[in-house]
Amino acid sequence: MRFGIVQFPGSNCDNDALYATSANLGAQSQFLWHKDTSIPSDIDCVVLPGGFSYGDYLRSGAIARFSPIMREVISFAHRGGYVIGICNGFQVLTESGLLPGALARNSGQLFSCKTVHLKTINNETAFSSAYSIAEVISLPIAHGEGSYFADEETIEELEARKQVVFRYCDSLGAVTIESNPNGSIHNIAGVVNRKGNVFGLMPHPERVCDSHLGNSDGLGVFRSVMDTVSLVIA
Amino acid sequence: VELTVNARNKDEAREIVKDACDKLICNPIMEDYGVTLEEIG
Repeated sequence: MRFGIVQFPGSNCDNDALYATSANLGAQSQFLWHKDTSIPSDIDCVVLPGGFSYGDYLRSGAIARFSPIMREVISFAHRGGYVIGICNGFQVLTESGLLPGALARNSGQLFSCKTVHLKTINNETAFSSAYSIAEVISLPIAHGEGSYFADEETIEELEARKQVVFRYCDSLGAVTIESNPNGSIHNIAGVVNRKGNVFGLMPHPERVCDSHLGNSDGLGVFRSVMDTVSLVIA
Repeated sequence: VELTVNARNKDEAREIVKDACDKLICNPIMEDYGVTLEEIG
């Protein structure tokens, strides 16, 4: 199992993602440069990490979408390769059209940096199979544009096809307005594409993968991918 | 957003700006845009 962590100018969670997937998970992991025009054939999962790609000029993820590596990531995803976009990476995935919807400015208009609770809505995806259904996990958020938005028809389709993987909730798992940190529709924190191989999540699982930090709830995201790839290979 | 474009006439200028908005400047899922043209030079 090998992860490829994309480094854009302005990425700042790339080392966290590399450490989480290698030191914490025990998988092989390497960086992919934003100017790269190919993805090594042994990469099983590409991670678009958090940060401020290209300074988030114009709109979060809008410039990164046109980077050389994204042409390859889009092609990789279309061939069935696994892709995870975290925070800014999620924004890049929606801007690229690999995931539906968009990430708008937080409802409070402020950058939000804190730990939130997520409820596992669908544990039958390649990115959430390590969790139990309705399991509540704690992950940090750090974003100003994390309010998931899509038109009514798209939201209905996401819900009907069980593409919503995680929702913001309180510590007991209740999905409430108060537990929604950014105004996301239906408290959506993470979605998967229709094919099930591209996943976007606003909170940061890679920052809570080490028990020495007092929380390793995020490791399940990467473990799920590793388990899925292992099954496919076996 | 202010753009300066080279065009032979207003229609061409509007098309260039519209193309830039559709491809990059605007995300139609959550944004809308209008174009106001001003001739310079």
